[in-house]
Amino acid sequence: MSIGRPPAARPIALAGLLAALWSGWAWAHAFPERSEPRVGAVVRASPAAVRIWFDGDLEPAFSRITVTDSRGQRVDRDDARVDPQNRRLLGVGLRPLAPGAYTVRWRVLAVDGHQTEGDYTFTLKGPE
Amino acid sequence: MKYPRSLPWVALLFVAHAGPAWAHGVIGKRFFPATLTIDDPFVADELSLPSVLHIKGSEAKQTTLGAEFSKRITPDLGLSIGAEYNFIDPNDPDERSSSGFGNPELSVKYTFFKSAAHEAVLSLGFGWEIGGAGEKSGGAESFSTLSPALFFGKGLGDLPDTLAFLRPVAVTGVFGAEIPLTDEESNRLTYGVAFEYSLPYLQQFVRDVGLPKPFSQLIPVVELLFQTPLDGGKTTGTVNPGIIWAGKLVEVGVEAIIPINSETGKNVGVRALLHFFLDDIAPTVFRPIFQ
Repeated sequence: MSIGRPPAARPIALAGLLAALWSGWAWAHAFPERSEPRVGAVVRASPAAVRIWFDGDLEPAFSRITVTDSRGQRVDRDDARVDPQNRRLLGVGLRPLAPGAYTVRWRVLAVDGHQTEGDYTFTLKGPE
Repeated sequence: MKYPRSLPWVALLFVAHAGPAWAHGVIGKRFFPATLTIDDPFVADELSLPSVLHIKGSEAKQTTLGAEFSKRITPDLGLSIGAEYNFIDPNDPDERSSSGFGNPELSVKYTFFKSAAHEAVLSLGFGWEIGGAGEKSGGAESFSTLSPALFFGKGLGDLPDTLAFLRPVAVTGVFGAEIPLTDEESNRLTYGVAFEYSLPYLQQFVRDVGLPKPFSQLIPVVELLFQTPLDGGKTTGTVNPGIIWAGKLVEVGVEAIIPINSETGKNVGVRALLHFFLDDIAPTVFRPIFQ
């Protein structure tokens, strides 16, 4: 905003920004909306895959996900990919898991070039 | 912005001045929202439009509309320009109401330390309130004020598993000075801290507790800001509890303004903000000039 701009000009600037938002001229950092297994979950059966749904489209070539056990050993199938039918979905297959705690780490590039990263854990409980 | 020596005006303008300086940032997996009362340590391309403040002082009611535009020169160096329009309505019915622009403020900020693993950031800032550029009717002073400051931010995402539910907590703060270029007012220390609990962080990285939108996008916050004159005057300050809703491209925040003592004021005010993340809205336009 320019200094001294009359207050009446502010709604015009605001309207322009809102129009930009409405028109879809906008992307942003991608953050997870939900995951399977869920963040911090305790599951009873070994999941076949980890899947994370993001709130924006991802660049497949620069989006990664790994899963490690409590010793830091990879337990995923190294086949992480962005779903071609849904570019907001990143997943990776898992080997059969033993009971224990697992860490999911992801790093993604949104289509606008913003990179984000994160991690979370889930726990597989053995039969009672 | 300057503070007339009359204490009621000191209190009123203190809370008004404390606001316009916002930035947002992502470091590591932490998203820091733009806080309403104190500046945060990030440089970014962003626009706060409008910020709104309303409070009743012992002598007058004040309503302030503000705006601030921030632009990155490099990824770690940013410039900001902010302006306010003040409406002053004296409690005494015999006195006339007035309104006008306050002095604009230019500021520069440089981030000199970042740690993604520890969600930590440190920045140095320098502000210049341009004396005489505003209107007397809006409370603008004729002299300039310089304001060097150190800003910090720290997310608690590196806490151990036993304290996992505290990982969504983040703290930002400022320690600085205000140096009026006049003999009429003393220099002041300005210091504050903002405590945030990020429900998005809780959902995304700690435990999916099943919060639906918009609750999963809320960040409760408490900001504390104090000012101590170096001539022996009493410390003034406010406690500002509130809540921020952060979307992908905009955020909205509202806070109460609670004076800490009678020197600051006696009435609770309110502050609100609509804030646009320009670098996310149009990343090809709003990016650092020099990479």
